[in-house]
Amino acid sequence: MDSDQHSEPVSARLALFPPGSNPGRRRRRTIFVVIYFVAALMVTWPVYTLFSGTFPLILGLPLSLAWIVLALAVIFCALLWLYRSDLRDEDEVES
Amino acid sequence: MDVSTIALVVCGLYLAVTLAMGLLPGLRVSKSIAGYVAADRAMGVLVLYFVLGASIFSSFAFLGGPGWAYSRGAAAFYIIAYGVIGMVPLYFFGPRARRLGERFGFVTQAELLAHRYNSRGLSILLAVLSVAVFIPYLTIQMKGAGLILSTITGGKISFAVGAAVTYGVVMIYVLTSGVLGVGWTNMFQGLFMMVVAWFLGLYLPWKLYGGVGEMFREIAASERGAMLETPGLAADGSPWTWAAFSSAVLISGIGFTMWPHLFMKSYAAKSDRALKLTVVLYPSFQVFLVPILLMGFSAVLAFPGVESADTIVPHILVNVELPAILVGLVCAGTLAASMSSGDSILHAAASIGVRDGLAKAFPNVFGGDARERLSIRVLVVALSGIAYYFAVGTEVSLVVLLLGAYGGIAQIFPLMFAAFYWPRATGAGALAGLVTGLAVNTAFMLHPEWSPIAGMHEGIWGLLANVTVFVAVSLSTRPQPAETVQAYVEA
Repeated sequence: MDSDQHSEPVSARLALFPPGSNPGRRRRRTIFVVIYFVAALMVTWPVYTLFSGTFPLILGLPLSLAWIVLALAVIFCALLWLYRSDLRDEDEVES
Repeated sequence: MDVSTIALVVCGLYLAVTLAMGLLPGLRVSKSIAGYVAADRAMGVLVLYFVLGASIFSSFAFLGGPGWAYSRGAAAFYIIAYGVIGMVPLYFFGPRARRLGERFGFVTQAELLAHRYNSRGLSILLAVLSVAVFIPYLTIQMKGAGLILSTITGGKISFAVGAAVTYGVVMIYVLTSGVLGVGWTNMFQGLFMMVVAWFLGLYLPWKLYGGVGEMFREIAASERGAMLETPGLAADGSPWTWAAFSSAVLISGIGFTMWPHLFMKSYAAKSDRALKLTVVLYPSFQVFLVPILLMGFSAVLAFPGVESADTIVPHILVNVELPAILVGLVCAGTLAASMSSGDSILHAAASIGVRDGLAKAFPNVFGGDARERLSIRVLVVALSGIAYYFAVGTEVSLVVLLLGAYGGIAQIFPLMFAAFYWPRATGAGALAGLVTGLAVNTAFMLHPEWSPIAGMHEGIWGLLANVTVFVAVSLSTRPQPAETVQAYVEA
């Protein structure tokens, strides 16, 4: 059976957002993905090479380790922001 | 009482509490497959947080992490670095998978992919891949448990007996309570590990050097000072490359949420919010790897020349004058790390082996709720036996196998991403991409000298080939039926 005959043509493009999702939500998700890529660069070549030395010690940790902990803090704050804004969206939909 | 007896008593108490915590929830959960494998889709944030957290805190983290810090210095930071990017995809994939699971009755990762791509072959391939990588994973956990018990008791409890008793307990609660047994025990084990890790990670530098900062200053001033600069050292003590460090971070990060035992916990979540909040809170679990690494660094100057770096924690415990009760707690903490990963892996391996493998390949023999549940339990016992055989009977370097497995698991990522975000992806494309990715990954693993960039993780080459073939074959084959695709894009 030919499925093409009774179904709509499928787009070859990426569908990053569900159809009909609100613009504010789309914008915040785009910002989050940018922060995510920045965090990924923080812990890999080339950005990490700038912070890969031992000194200064930060809270007793070498800079190379403290930097990774900072990246973890960045992603945590970004996730928290996204989660809270998602919650607001859902509340608006419900009300 | 001598130190080893007191330590044993503490470990015995720990095992007894774990067993009780593992058996209790079995009385509550329903007798269906959804109950045994996905906790009736009712897990809240607290349990979910510890179940997912335990997948980081394995024997590898508790013994291997300090081992890396001890022998390879800053190279060990990759374990924390990949956590920065690793968990985030689940924030986006998890809730979609959860809703689809509820709608179509999925309890495993392969079921979702096989449905989206309409391919039974994909399901069987993923089942074989999962079970193949889970066996070495489980074996490492058992080795960790056997090693710590035999070292602490000075050999009074043999390696074989230690591993058997520990995993006997795991097998009992996995058989009885399924994923809820895993969840409740992981909560107890997780809290226990956190306390032990923080305490020991701060106590050892203080006792041996007078503080964490002093410790790093002394290491930096010594002839081994260069080890603190990323990317640290390779296994042979030569400097590690940035290509190797960065690609290890990327592949582990990409592969992290694709581990089938981790991904399938999405179905156990009771709501989207619970799942998202768990991902948000996850970095707090990752921070606990910092004290774990401090334990390893504390031995760099205090105990130079330990040949087998993975045994550095037991080595410290035996050689630093610690109160007996503390030795016992650390020993139990290491068991907790081993068991909380081992139980999840064992449960997932058996569930996937039956649901996605046997029941799909031989539906007449293994199909149906009751027969599947029985088969899963038989497989739990069989897989425990196989892993135990490898743990006790062989000397194969399984850590190497496991690190190689990450490259294989990462190959699932493009399929998962496209399932939700690329409507044009087809079953033929998915299968061709995955097979190519696995083949290229394995080829470069066996022949690292083929790599155009020295030190680059083989998984990167696998992914490049995977995505290229996946896209090309998808575009040249007939699209999937729009109704199926729609369900995923709009999920």
